[in-house]
Amino acid sequence: MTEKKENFLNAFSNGAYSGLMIGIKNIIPNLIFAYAIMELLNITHLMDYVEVIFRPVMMLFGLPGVAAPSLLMGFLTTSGGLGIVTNLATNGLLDAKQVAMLLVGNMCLGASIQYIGRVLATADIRPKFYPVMMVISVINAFIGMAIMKIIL
Amino acid sequence: MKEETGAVKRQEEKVGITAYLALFFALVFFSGILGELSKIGDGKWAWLGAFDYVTLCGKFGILGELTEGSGTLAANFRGIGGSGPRDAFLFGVSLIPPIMFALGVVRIINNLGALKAASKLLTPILRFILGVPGSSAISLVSNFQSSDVGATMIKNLKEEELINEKEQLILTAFEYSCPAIMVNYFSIGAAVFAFLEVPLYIPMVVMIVCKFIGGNIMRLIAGRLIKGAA
Repeated sequence: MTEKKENFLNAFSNGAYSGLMIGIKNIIPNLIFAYAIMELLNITHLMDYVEVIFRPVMMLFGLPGVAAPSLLMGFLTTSGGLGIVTNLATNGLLDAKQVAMLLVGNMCLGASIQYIGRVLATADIRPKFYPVMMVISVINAFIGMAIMKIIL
Repeated sequence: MKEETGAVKRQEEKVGITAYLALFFALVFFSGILGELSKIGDGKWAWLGAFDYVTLCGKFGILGELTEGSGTLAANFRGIGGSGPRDAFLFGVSLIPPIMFALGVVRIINNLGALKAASKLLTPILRFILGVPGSSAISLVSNFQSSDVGATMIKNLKEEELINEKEQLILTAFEYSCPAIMVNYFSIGAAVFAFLEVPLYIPMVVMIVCKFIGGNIMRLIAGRLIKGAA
């Protein structure tokens, strides 16, 4: 088996290039999607209702109700979920601790839909176990946010 | 009797000192520890920042200077008070340079064998902390880098009968939450770095702990799940 070894500079370039591609194919499109949704929610004042509906659950973690859309969006796309976090933080609705909590929460349950194919199906587990895996991810997110709340 | 299979062969590849050094460097470089240390005292330890990822990323130039009282300048090309897709685009663009830098360094570190070193270190304790055999270490550690590679290795381990269905479920539960954490944290997670006031390693360590918690939740229920599904 022959392994093509990259030299130092090629390795850096290839890695940097993959970062550029992630930025262009994943991050920017999902940020645009997330910010467009936030514009919609703000202009229609639907955000006020979202805040009220999710306030009880979010309050357990010391988060405002408006943080809930980030986790809901994060389930679909982590970049989108974190895009909402940055949008809220820029507008002064989240402080640094809350951002850190939502970073952990979003990444634990992030892109769960997308990773069904890339992780669950590829690992070849029986499909009837997929829902349990997703529930565990969500539990991880809440445990992670709780840990962050305690240590920060 | 020799029973070497693909997965086990990979495990036994020699891991040199360079690999361990690369792993150590990666942990220190990306953790943010040196960035914090470089701030203490009155500049005596500032040089440590040269080996810290966030410090080395630098910053965009400012747009200029105003005399006092003549208004506000934005910090960089993103401007002030943007919103919607236009603001999102420029924000995304501003994230790209540190992401490229991080992934370039990660690639070099992996080529030096840091992942193999990490899996060698994990092997002895894996049975205890996750209830899976040491041969799964390389899959676990590959998951830090790539969701697809880690998951493919789980499938291979099962096919080669190095793990049973319970262990397969445990590993999958571990890998499914925060997959490709090393890559995703420094690319997708980077969106919020500017708002954080804690060193970068803290959220990442918490996320890794959560992966182990998820794996152990599955460790507790897998037996019952498999019986129920039979």
